Amino acid sequence: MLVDCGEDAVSSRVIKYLRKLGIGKLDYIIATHPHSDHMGGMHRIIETFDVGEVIIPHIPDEQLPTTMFYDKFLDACEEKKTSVTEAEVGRVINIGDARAEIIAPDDTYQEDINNYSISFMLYHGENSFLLTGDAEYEEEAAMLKAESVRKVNVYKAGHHGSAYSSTYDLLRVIKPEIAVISCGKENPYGHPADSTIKRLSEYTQNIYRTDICGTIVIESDGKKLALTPERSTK
Amino acid sequence: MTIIDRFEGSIAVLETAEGMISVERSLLPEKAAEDDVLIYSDGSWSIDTAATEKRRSRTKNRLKRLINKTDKRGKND
Repeated sequence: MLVDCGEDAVSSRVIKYLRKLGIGKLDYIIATHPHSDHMGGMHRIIETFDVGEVIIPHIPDEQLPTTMFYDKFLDACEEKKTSVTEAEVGRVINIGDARAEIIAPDDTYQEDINNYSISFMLYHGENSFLLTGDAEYEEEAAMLKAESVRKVNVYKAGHHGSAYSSTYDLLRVIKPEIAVISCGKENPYGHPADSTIKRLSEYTQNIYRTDICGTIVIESDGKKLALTPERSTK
Repeated sequence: MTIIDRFEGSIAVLETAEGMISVERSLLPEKAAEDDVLIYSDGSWSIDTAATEKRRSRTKNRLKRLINKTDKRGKND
C-alpha cells in the first residue's frame, strides 16, 4: 500500500525507491486528499506500477478539485483502467498480516479540503500506527467523537506538524511512542509549528522530522519496531 | 492557466503550467477559494468563475464514471 506520493517534481524519487524495494504492484494507493504536495505526482505512480485500487476521499461536488495534476491523475486511472473507490469509514483493508481501518473522513461538510483527508489506523501484530494526512482539529475531533482512535506506537503527525493539528485532545488518546513529521527542509509554511513540537514532546521524546532526518523508514515485525532515519539526528 | 492548489496560512500555493508557485494570500481576491482558476491582469488577480465551474464539472463527470465503473465503495476485503 502506498499512502500519498508528494509533488510531481519528486515522483521519480518515489518510483526509484519503490523499485529498489522490488515492488512492481501496489495493491492499494491511498490518496489522502487532492493537494499537490500529497498527490501531485500520482499520475506517474499509476502509469509506472500495476495498481490494484486507488482510494480517494469523498468530496462534495462544489469542492471537487480543478487542478491540472488532478486531471493527469484521472487520465492515468482511465488509461490504466485502475479501480477508483471512495473511502468509507469502517472499511478494513487487509495487507498481508497487517490491517488498515479507515476512520475518517465522515460525510460532514468541511470548509478546508485538508479535513477531508483519509485517515486510518494501521495494525500489525502488537504494533499500531495512525496516519491522518493533513487532517486538522476539526477532523481530529470527528475521529475522537467516533471513538475510532486508540493508543498507537507511531503517529505520523497531521498536516506536516501544523499548529492546527495534533491537538491535546487527540494526543491524550493516542499517546504516541514515536511521532514522525513529514516536512520540507526550510519550507516557507512554518511546518512544523513550535507549538505542535511542544505538545508532542509532552507525550514522547521520539520525534523524527524528515526535514532533519531525511527519509525515515519504520519496519515492523509484528512485535518490535525498527526505525532507520537517513540521517541520525532527531 | 493558474489554479489555487491550497492555502498554507498566509501563503497561497498556485498551480501553473510551469509548476507550483507561492504568493501571499492577501494578493488574491478575498473570496478566493481552493481550486479557483485565476486570471492575472494589470498587476492583480481575479477569479475566473466560468473556467472554475467548467473544470469542476468535468472532474465531477470523470469521477462519476470512474467510481461507478468500479463500484466498490465501502466493500471490505
